[in-house]
Amino acid sequence: MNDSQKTTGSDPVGDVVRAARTSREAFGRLFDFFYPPIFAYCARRLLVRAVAEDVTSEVFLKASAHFRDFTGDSSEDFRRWVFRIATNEINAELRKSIRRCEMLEAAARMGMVNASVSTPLLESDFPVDWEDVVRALVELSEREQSIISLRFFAGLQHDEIAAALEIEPGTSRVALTRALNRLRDRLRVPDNSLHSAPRTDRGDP
Amino acid sequence: MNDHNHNDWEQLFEQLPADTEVRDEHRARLREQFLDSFQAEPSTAARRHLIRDTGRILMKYKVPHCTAVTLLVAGAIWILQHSTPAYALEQIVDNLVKAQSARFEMTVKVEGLPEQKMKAFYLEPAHFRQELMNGYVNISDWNAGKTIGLEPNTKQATVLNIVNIPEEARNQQQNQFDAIREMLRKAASDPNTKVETLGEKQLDGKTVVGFRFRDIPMPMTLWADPVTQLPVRIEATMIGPPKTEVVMSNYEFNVKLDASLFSLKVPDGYTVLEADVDASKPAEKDLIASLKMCSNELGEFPAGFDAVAIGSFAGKYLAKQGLNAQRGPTKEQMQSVIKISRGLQFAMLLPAESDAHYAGAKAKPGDKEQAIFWYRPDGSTKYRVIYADLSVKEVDAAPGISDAIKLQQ
Repeated sequence: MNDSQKTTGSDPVGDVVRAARTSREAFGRLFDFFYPPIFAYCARRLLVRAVAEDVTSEVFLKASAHFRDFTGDSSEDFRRWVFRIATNEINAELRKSIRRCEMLEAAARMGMVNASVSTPLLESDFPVDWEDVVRALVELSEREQSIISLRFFAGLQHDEIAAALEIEPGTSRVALTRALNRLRDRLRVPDNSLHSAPRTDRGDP
Repeated sequence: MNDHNHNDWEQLFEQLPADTEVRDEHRARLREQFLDSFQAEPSTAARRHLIRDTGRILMKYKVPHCTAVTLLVAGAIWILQHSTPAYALEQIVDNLVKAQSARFEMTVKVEGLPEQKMKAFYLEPAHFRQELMNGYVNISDWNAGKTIGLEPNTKQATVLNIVNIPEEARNQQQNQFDAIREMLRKAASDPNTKVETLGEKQLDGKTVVGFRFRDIPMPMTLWADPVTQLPVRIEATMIGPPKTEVVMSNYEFNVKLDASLFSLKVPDGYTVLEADVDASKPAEKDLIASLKMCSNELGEFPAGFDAVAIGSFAGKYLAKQGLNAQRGPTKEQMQSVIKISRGLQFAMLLPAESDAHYAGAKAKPGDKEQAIFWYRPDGSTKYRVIYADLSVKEVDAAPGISDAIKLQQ
């Protein structure tokens, strides 16, 4: 946020961020504003509601515990900061193999990807299901997963992703393109050679 | 490529059928917890509290008194400005100690030897597995008193049965993962341990916080994720000789590991070489027995008592005994090497206060005037000296041999 925004009040959430340092009410409003996008981000990454809620709780409790260390004063600053915490919490959760298994089981119940989307994307009419997509995603590096997720699950722009991951915006752009290419390559590989781990039992198609 | 080309991916992920609907009950409960932790900007009282805590940390980690006052003030400001709380260390070590399983990578660099990289797996209570890049697998279970080494290329298995484990050692975990975390636990809980806070840095695109433990038997640097409060990298140095650097990285904690990874059953098709390892505390007589075996077989004493010198000497010893490089050592040959190692361990396990020295590298076996090893037993003011004829004398002062190697645990 720049100075003009601060003085003209064009960043109402930024006003809440600043007020939250001294006002309990503003602190609560900050939670109200950011709870839905953070939960949605966790839910899209983790797919299991109970796990997503637990991780969302961790994110907000860590944010509150460290709020005095937060040095920003705009809504964008807080957004980047809280998504950074969320990304680290999600990654920590996904390092547990049991969480990855639960996520893949949930993905297996999601059925097929709409062919009108997957066919042009992969330049192939081979059917793809959500388990394929999630498995290919989770096999990328943690950083690649984070960049893809922040971009498409959280809707962050490159400067925001860069701030959340503490990298240059240019790096974020290049890394996103590379990560998506790797994801596409993995999805194009025939099913039985793609997966290093056994597939979960499929749910309803 | 710009974002325009990513529209197709955006369409794909928009259709992900994840349940993102907020559950009011969870939101309300979390909101209460969130508000419960609300604290306004630090008041004067809060600042006093921070300064008091900072002082406690400084005293705990024995920051030199001359700098303590300066750090006390600077530390309070630093804590207000940064997100690297020194007090997180205890939580990080506690999380490490409580881990029930772990998967990580190890790099071991012994001075003078090629670097070894391996994957390591730990499962409570004492299962440990290492997979070297060349395919060799080592599995140990201290509780079962057994370790097996599998060489898949030659289908050879080495089974070592650990016998005569002293009662006081039974509850100790004898694998690298347990050893490291036990050392960190002791260091973090010991008010006399100096811990240097290294602040934040970027490691593989992630922010980590560092702590350095200098004054412990194996100096270590711990890098941890400040959010998960779990270690992500531990660098340890064994001063040696030989100097040995171990880096453990890419930790995954509390992962599900299949018990079959830690099976002590040798797979079918392997040739098995089995030997016993005596884990009781070695004594001076064991060292003399080792030195006797060395001098009888090779007509010389080892160049040193460190891992590289012993390894090199064992190779020469086995070659002299007719080692078949294809089939590996026989049971008798293996047992001999274990016996030599046990005796040399006596010397290597002596504490620094014993002022132990070795001077046998150039000594001629049988020379009754040439001192090759000396040490001061616990509680004694006299030195026990072993000569090249393997006789022992007790003397008031250590022999004056300038190129003697000082040994320490």
